[in-house]
Amino acid sequence: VIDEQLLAERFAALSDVRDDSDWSDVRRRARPRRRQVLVAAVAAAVVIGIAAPAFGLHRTIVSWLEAEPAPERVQLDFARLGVRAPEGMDPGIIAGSARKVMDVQLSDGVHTLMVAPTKDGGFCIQWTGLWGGCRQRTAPAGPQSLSPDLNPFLLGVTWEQDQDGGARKIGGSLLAPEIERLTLTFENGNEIEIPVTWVSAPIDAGFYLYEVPARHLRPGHRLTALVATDARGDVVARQTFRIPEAKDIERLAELPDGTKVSLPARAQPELARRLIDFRAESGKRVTLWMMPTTDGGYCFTYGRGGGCPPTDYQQTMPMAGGLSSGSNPVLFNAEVTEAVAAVELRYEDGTVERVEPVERFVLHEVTPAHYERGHRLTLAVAVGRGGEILQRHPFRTDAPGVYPCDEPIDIGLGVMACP
Amino acid sequence: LVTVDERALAIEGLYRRRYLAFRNGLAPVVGSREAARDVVQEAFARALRERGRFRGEGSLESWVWRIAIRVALASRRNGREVALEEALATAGLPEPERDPALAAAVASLPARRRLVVFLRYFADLSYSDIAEICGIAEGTVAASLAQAHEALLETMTEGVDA
Repeated sequence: VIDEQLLAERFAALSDVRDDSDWSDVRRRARPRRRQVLVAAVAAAVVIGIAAPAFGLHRTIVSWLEAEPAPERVQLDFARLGVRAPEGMDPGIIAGSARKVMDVQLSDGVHTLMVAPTKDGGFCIQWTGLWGGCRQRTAPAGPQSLSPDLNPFLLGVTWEQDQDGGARKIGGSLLAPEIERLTLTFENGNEIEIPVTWVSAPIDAGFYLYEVPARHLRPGHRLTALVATDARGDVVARQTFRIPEAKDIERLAELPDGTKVSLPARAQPELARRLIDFRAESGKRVTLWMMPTTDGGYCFTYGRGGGCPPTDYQQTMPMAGGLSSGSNPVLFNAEVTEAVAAVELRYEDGTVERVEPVERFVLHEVTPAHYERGHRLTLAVAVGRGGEILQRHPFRTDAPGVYPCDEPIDIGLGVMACP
Repeated sequence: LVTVDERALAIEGLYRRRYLAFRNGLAPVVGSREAARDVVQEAFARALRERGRFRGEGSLESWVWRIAIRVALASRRNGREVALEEALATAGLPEPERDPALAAAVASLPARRRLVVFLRYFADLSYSDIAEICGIAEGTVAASLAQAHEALLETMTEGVDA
């Protein structure tokens, strides 16, 4: 008897599964003749724009539709960002639509910009060999700028510092189509206009990557601001750069036990003392070092974290801290105000540990007995001198990758993590 | 609100997901895998160019299929004004020697019914999709397929008896 199922199987046996698809060929065929002329005209105009900005065209335009699809491994990297993201923070990347947008030659080689749209209308980027990140289309609620910055949301900036604290490589994205020029300004008053590549919808954003010339890494010549202006020369957005003072520039320093850590020049590691010191259950020694700074402040470091607050820093919350997690030992750390008498660590299984701060610092091991679900740290409570609760700091217990385990599992797309 | 470029993304996504279904579904219409590939490439290129015309009435895939069938039939007509039946007169399994009985059974079907069979079994389309693509009622698709099954059964059984 030949029924529909059997018929379907006989047809299926004849199906040709050889994949000779080629989307770039479709895109080529889709390009009308007049568009080719337009592309040629734009290309010519861009050359003119770079050579002689006075002609008025200052950016290259890339058609998203015509951009080359990103390699599969890049698409997978984008997709994995969603898997790794904490709950509620998945950027919603449409990884399969990722495209290669441009190459930029810097002194250390060629860097390629890969871009993927996100479901909410934003995008994620990767600059090969440099950095990556995601941007939303709309600004988050709350204050957006600190004078003298202006509309910083429209002008994304990422940079790499050189050893003297100056910005060496600078890159980012622009969200305002009216931006015509992007200009770097320097301590000595010099300005350099840098090229921008605008990517069409659905990305609808401009991108730039620039290597600051070596002459502008010297004190007195360093980068001070990035300024975006429209066609009339009005400033649309501005990001300023704090020029670090010599005392704030970090360098590798040696603690009394020979440990090497990165500290600002104002730290005095030779005067460091062990404020908190214990052996974790694994046998590993855990030390919180405290040291003065030359300007009357202090620095602290415990291997997995640390800081050197400005001398005028005033802690507003009773307890500022969190978990240093992901590997053994897992540590709870916090800096508390004088009002805090103790910190209670409450676990899922009902266990409560009370830790008293040492000179306003808490560093405490969350032992392996609390790595398993059902036993994890769920709340840190700052308790005042009269027993009153000053602050509660909850912790998620179901986020992967926080607590170590013997056998990480695939949490999706090959991303291995402890559950 | 769906913008034109979001539509372009959707067309690209459709191409990446369903390329083989389009090519295999059209190969019987145009006679070979190579000719079908050319039709699919051209159809998606047209879909991209004309994406602003897609009104969202029906599925995007059905809209692209209609373009693809127009392109396929145009290639069969070779510039001549001929009826669908004539354009599909020689449509059949691209490699009949792989299943001669099925090839003969398909060849015995009327042209329009053959197209429905190709869309159903090579392109793996639902009855409602086929109805939308061919501009006929879903019940007509079901009836066409039932008649096609009957005819195929009859022809293939004759083949076995012989």
